[in-house]
Amino acid sequence: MGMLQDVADRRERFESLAAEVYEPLQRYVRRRIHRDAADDIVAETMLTLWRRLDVVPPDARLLWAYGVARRHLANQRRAAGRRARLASRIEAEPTSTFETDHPYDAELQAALSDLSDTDRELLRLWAWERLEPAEMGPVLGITANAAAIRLHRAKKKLGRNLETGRKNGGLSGHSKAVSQKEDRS
Amino acid sequence: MTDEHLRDRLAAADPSADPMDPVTSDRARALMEDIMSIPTVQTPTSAGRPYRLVAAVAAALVVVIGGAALFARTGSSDAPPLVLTAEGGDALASCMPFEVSTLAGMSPAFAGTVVELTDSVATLEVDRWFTGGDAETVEVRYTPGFEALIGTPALEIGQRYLMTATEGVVNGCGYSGPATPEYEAAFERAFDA
Repeated sequence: MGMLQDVADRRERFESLAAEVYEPLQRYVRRRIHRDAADDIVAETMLTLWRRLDVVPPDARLLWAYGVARRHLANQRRAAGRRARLASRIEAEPTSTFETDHPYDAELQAALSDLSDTDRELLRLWAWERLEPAEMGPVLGITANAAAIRLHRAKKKLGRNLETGRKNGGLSGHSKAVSQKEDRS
Repeated sequence: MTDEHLRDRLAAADPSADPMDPVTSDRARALMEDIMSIPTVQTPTSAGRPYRLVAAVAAALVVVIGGAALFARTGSSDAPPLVLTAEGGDALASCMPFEVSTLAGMSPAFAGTVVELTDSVATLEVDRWFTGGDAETVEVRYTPGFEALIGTPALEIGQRYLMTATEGVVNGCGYSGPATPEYEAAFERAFDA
């Protein structure tokens, strides 16, 4: 009876967790990976949440779920990159990865391109998930203070890159170095 | 450019405008039921990865293009290589029995393929991080005898290994070694990956 009760409790806790995180989690993942791959990542993340139900912090369930999804996304990218490199070695022709390459806002994309992966993720969490720096810490595994400082710097750098791009007459150059190189050529 | 302008500009490129699958949908219900049918008390047989779950609940989907690529840069990472050391030694003399629960406490843990090899350095390209890092490559600086410690006659280029380290030193005694599906399943159980 005790064991059955445990199972029922666990199901109930997971269903409550799923009700809270499933939709925002899908949104988080779809913002970061092609839709075809997103469903796998969401399912893997939900499975991790089920397995680790006992350690999910009750006051930060969604942030914790984002952090798990982020790890699955990173592993997926590594695997895809490895497969693509392997395939291109074998077939000696370029292969595409799961990521689309349709620029939505080419100027913005260029301005983002020389930021670090972490800085780009901080900007996404800020602009898309609308998180506060204190909430970004658990997602990225860094302190709230570090998140606040890095986000501040990332915003400044992105703003500067956009300015530079504009000054160069709409060149898609994302940094001075690239723009100057283009100017010389 | 003010913060607000910057945020608006980024928000305009948000790719996820279409509605999400609600948690009450048949598809979501089926997924959750499949997940909850997986025992959480880990047994020696792997519970398996949920790809088959996804296949089972495939639905008509609208492909989102555009914004997903906004921040995407294929594969490249800004993380510098992780450097680990490894010492050969009397490997068999001091080994404890292998336990998944011990493995679970180790960090970092990763899977990678040897892409460069010298007499003292093996460079591994990481394809999977279980915990404790996000570098694309790991350099293992080793001394003779290391091969035996991780249960292989010789390091080989192209061979994939599962490795853990503690305080920057690679763990032997069954806690690092050539990758096999069974061995990787143990890592998956240990790290809930």
